Amino acid sequence: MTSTLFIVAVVIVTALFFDFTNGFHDSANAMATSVATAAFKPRTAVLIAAVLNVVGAFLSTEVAKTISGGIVNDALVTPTMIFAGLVAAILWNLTTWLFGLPSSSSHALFGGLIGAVLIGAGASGVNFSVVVSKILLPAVMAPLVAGLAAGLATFLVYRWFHNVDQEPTVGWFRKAQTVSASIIALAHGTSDGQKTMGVITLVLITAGYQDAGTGPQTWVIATAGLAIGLGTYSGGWRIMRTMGKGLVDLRSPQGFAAETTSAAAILASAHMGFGLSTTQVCSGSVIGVGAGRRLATVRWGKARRMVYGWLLTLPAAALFGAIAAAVALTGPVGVLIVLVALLAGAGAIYAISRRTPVTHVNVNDSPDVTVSFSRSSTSSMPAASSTTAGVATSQTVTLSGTAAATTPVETAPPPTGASAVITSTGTAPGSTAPTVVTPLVIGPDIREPTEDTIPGPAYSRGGHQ
Amino acid sequence: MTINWAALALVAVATVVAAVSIVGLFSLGVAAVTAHQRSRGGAAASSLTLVAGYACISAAGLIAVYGLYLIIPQFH
Repeated sequence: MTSTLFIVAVVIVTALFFDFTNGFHDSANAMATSVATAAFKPRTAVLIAAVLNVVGAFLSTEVAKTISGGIVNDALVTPTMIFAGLVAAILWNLTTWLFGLPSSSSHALFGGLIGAVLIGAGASGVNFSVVVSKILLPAVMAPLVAGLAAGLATFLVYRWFHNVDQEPTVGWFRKAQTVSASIIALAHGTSDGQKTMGVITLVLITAGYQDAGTGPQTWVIATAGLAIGLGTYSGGWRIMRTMGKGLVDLRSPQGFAAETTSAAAILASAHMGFGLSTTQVCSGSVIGVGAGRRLATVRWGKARRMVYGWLLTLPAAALFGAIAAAVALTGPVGVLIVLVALLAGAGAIYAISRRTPVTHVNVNDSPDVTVSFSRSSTSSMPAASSTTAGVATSQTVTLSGTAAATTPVETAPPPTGASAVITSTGTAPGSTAPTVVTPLVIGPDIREPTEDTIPGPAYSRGGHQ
Repeated sequence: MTINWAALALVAVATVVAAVSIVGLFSLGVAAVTAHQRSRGGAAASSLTLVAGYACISAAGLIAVYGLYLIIPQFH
């Protein structure tokens, strides 16, 4: 009995941790495009997204009745396997965040569960045809549908109307962006917020702490909503940078087109019975609006890396899940070992991320998210452990960026300290190759006139003059 | 393996139609309103432009409200 209580408590805590990573991973889906075009200030954006996610979590009444939607045989799933799946999903979410890769949190969770069930219950526990129809096919279709719609909308708007990039027109689009981004954030809260509630509720029912067929208890709704809200507020700035700045140089009309398309695709898929991953929809929209505007830059290299990340998500999470399950299923000591490994892994990834931090201060400064594995290359950027030191570091980055931008060379490397750090060649297990820093021309864009605006000599709005 | 191709096609078409029409409608409205602002004090026809422009923007706003209606389960 005590060991049941122990595993239930561990699963609940892990599920809330997963919910937190889900929040900061998906913060970018709603807000990256608005942050990039200065429709929202970075911290305002994550605050609004966080509040709407919490509101959405409380609004949603239809809590997931199954853990996986038929991908694994739920009758065979034990709380320990759920725990192993959650651990795998958290570690994969943190790894992709470190590299600034937008990837689906649901796919990570499904992958982790698949791996855990394969070890715990054998191949018969996994419904591979459902894996194809509910994960693989939607994963291919989501970016295609969103990219096509967003690209077409952008193409037509830039073709039919002139001066959409200039004041006062662009101001209207910037205002409209605040609405479309908020709708995505709310929709996210109603869908992803309830996933964790479903997991916790099902574990409570399996362990006999709650009657079958009853809905989530109030404390479950509250803690799950809070976890995803806190996660969203913490921002996931590395992914935010890739989605807002890295893939495409966005202008407000494009940001609006991307957000509208994403909202339409998310709502259509939620109400017409063909679920699409929010992350893949939003990334597809961003690439679509980049391809739809003539002269816009789409950094296809980054897009390709992101797609590799998507392809890796399921097998990598499954591998993590299988390893975690193999250890955890040996007993309470195994569960403890996995828990310690999770904390150590999360701590290590966080420590590596602090060497080249991306924060609300410097999120728009560069399109690149760099990862530095060796201490020697970070002499200009000491590894910061405390929050205060982290802020100080990012200020240094901004200052050095300003200095670099004064050189009157248009093709200068991205003017931030973060990008200037030479990345080492080391790779983490199960991760993609470190981001290669290449000199990129940062196209003219619309920035908010704050202290971190880079005074570029070649600043002009360009486009349809 | 059952793949709901009809649902997939419906989602795809709905997304494309919604994205193009909302973004198009809003852009049309903004173009009309800003055109009026540029030709301020001009012909009487420009006030019709202004009304039409705000109508388009309001229509886009109504679609956003419909989106909220779809999201919030308490409404249906």
